[in-house]
Amino acid sequence: MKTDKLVKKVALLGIMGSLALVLGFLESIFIPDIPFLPVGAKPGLSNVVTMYTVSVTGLGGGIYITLIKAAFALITRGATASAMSLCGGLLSTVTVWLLMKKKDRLFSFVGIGISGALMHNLGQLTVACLISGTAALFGYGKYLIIFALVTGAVTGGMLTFVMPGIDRITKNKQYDKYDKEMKE
Amino acid sequence: MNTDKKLLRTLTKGDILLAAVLILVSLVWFASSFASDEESLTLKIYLDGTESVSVSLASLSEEKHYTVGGCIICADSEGVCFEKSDCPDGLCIKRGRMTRAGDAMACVPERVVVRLYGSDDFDTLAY
Repeated sequence: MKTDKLVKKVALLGIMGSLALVLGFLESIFIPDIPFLPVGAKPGLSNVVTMYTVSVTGLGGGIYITLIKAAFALITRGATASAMSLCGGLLSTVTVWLLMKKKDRLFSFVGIGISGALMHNLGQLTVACLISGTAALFGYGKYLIIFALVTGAVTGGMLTFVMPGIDRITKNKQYDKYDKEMKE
Repeated sequence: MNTDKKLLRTLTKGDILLAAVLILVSLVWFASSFASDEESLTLKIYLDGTESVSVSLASLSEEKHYTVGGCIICADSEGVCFEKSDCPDGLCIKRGRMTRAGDAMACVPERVVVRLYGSDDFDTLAY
């Protein structure tokens, strides 16, 4: 029974990891550079996946997804992009985990999404400042706050709608039925 | 950790408060950075955090190109932009021109930062 759970977790993380990569890749292709918005800023659709994974498996799964994303960024976009992805991702994942863990609900998924996006941007901005050796880039923050508000609300809202559906798949009645039959 | 997911599906007061605070903070931030409409701008270019170019934009009568690190930066009396860069993504070039005091942009992979300072240094120190 214990191995069954492990197998399920491995499969879930595999699916979620690849889903995060595909979403991240697709948005970098299809979403053009919008004037007035921070250059290189992306909606972060793969944060939907990270948030879902954190809510199902806890912090470990979320960090796993973050590491996969950073490794992918290293291969496709170079070391700088990877460091920014890693630092933003870790900060955001931990924030999302802490907010979800909280017993009395401070935020809904929308609020958690916004907080996660905000922390993601903060992490990336910090890395950008560290690498370039100046704090001047924090002036970018005013754009990133608004951008995080919008994208975080979108990703949080998406999770709200998608969650019941994925839950149904991962709880997998078919699997449980099979499991029962095997035992009989 | 399957906590009550239903509760997470409705907006809370916390959400609205968070959104309001963020809008307020960025509005104040925008207002304070656009309030300064300086006339004399000083361009400074940093490589690895150390200053390598410092020039007053008003003194430029024509376009001038500076090569710093792996980047070529184009400046004239009105503003400044990245023209070429060895970096993989070219985001610094896509950022376009900047013309305001307190503005900063960077090519992070090449560790080149470009800043415009106004005549009032305290304003830019706020960053």
